[in-house]
Amino acid sequence: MSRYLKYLIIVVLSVTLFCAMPAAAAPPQSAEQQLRQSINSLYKARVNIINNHLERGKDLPPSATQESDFRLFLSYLDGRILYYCEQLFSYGGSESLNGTPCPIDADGSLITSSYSTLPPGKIKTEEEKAAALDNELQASLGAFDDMLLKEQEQIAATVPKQRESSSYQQVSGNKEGVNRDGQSGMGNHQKTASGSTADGNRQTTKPGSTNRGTGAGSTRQTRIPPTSGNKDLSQSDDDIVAKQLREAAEQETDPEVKAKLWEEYENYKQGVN
Amino acid sequence: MRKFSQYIITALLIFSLVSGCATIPRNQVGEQVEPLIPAHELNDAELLNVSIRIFDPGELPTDPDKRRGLAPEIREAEARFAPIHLKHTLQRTGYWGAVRVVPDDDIGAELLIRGKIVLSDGESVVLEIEALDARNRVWYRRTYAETARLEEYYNIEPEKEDTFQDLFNSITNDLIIFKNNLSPAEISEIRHVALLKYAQLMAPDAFSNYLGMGPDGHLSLLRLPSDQDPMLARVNLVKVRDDMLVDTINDYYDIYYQDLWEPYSSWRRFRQEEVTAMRELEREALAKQLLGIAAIAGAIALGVATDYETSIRTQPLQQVMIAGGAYSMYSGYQTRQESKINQDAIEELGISFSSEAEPLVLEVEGKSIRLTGSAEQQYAKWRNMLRQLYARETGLIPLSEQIDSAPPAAENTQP
Repeated sequence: MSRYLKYLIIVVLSVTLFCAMPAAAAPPQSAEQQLRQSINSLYKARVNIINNHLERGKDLPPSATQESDFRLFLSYLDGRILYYCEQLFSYGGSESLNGTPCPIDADGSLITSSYSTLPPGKIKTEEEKAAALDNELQASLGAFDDMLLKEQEQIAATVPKQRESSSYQQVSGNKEGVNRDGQSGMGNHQKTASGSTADGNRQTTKPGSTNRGTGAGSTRQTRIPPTSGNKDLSQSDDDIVAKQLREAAEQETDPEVKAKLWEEYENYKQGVN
Repeated sequence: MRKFSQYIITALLIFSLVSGCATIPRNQVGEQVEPLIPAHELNDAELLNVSIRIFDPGELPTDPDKRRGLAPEIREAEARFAPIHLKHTLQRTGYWGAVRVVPDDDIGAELLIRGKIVLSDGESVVLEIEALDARNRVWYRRTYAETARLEEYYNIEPEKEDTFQDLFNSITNDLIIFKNNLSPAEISEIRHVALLKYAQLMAPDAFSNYLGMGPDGHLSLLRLPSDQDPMLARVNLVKVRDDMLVDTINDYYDIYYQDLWEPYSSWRRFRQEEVTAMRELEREALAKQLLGIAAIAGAIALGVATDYETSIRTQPLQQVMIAGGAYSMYSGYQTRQESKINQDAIEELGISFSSEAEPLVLEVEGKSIRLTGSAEQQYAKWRNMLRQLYARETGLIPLSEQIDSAPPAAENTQP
């Protein structure tokens, strides 16, 4: 009996050690590795989605709306893949793109326009081509917003050197988050009316303005208009892209791809394009 | 002969008093200039956005004495500091929409302000300012100068009160006066022209027929696109990103301004103190030396001009005058040596401030270039997309394989 007990203790200890080891030994992923993983996961998801779509089409041809939604979703995925490709390219040039589906030309430059992921021959009309282009533009604008948001986070974390050791009033260190519900147009010229009274410290903002004050003496003047739908984490108002991202995540069997799709879904819903 | 000596002595004394005075630049602004404030909050329709281009740093004085303690690095810093402070001054009036500092001429600017630093030595500032609106109409070109009073170096506060606040308030007030003379229709036209200029840049095929140019180079509205125009909506989406980018760059400028405030204010104050002390000592030294010369000249004149008996009688006086004159000249020399110490202090102040300002300038410029550089690639891509969209939606441009397959980088026009 004591012999069994000894074995049992050894087994338990071994299991405990084995379970503890990977967590302790796993090296943190570098930004490049994370990007490469994002690209490959999304590309894999994209291939699955196209295959499923084609498979379903064999039994029952998709309606015009389904086809349009499918293209919109693919276009969104393309934008995301391209965005990660661009980031990866900025880290290490064309060599860093090896092993990814990111398209590069003969000179080793990333091809950002010709990465048309739509199945060849699927787009038939000029309207549909225009819709795909429009979606691509929206995705590209979203990626640009992402870059600006990151920049603003950096700025918010920056304390001017003089203020580190003095009592100057902080001006730029407390930026507002970017609101995504503004929309500007020709007849909708929106501005901040910043006035000052005798004490020189009044700042008012017009409702719905694109140009807002954010604190003493500083302005955050432009609001990002939406590139696609309202975004929150409730399913009830999922737009076309969110809905398809969620469905793709639910159906995905590869855990890595599944996790990435959920991450994309949450980012999309929270407005982090 | 005696009369002649008197003239010389008087002239020398006047010269000694005048030579120590500071040179006051022309076009001085008034003192205690209060900024104009609107009686009521303005409507959106009454506002114009302002873009202030980073100033031209101008040239440093060629005269070594006037150049002392100044440096190109300081000027570069001032060329950024001054437009940022002007931005804050304009913002605080409530007469303007978004006020932004821009690294280059802003194509979508409703009102663009350019400036050049003609002189800035800590004591005085002279700026040449040009304001022109989106229609290419020059509002005015003016030179503003201010020589600061001593107390103006002390009652200062970032963004609100600069040593040369009268100058900044004068520029702001002139702009407000000019703007208040514009009719609502003119303000509306400026805003529409600005947006359509930007739209033309981003989608030239779609917006080439909305603006006309007169023989004087002024732009005018030929017609307006519909509010529902899908291309305009897309251009607006891009324009908002462009404004966001400039705002982000302005955030970096603001940090730079805050970082520069303390060393720059100190440099100006100390330099003014040193220059004033040096000028005082130089004037004192010159006066002493001239008095010495005058005393010696007087003694000689006394010896030559009088008869023998008087000459013998006044010999002790002549000797005292010569000795006193020589002492005065020596004392003047010593005072000059003291002023040399101030000169060295001014040089050191300049070197010290340059070494603080230069890395700050490089840092903010690096950020600005990085952001605009990456944005330009995006703009090229968006221009290409907009072009293709317009072609597909209207069919006005033959769709060729060339358009479809052209990589965005092939288009190099800059926003």
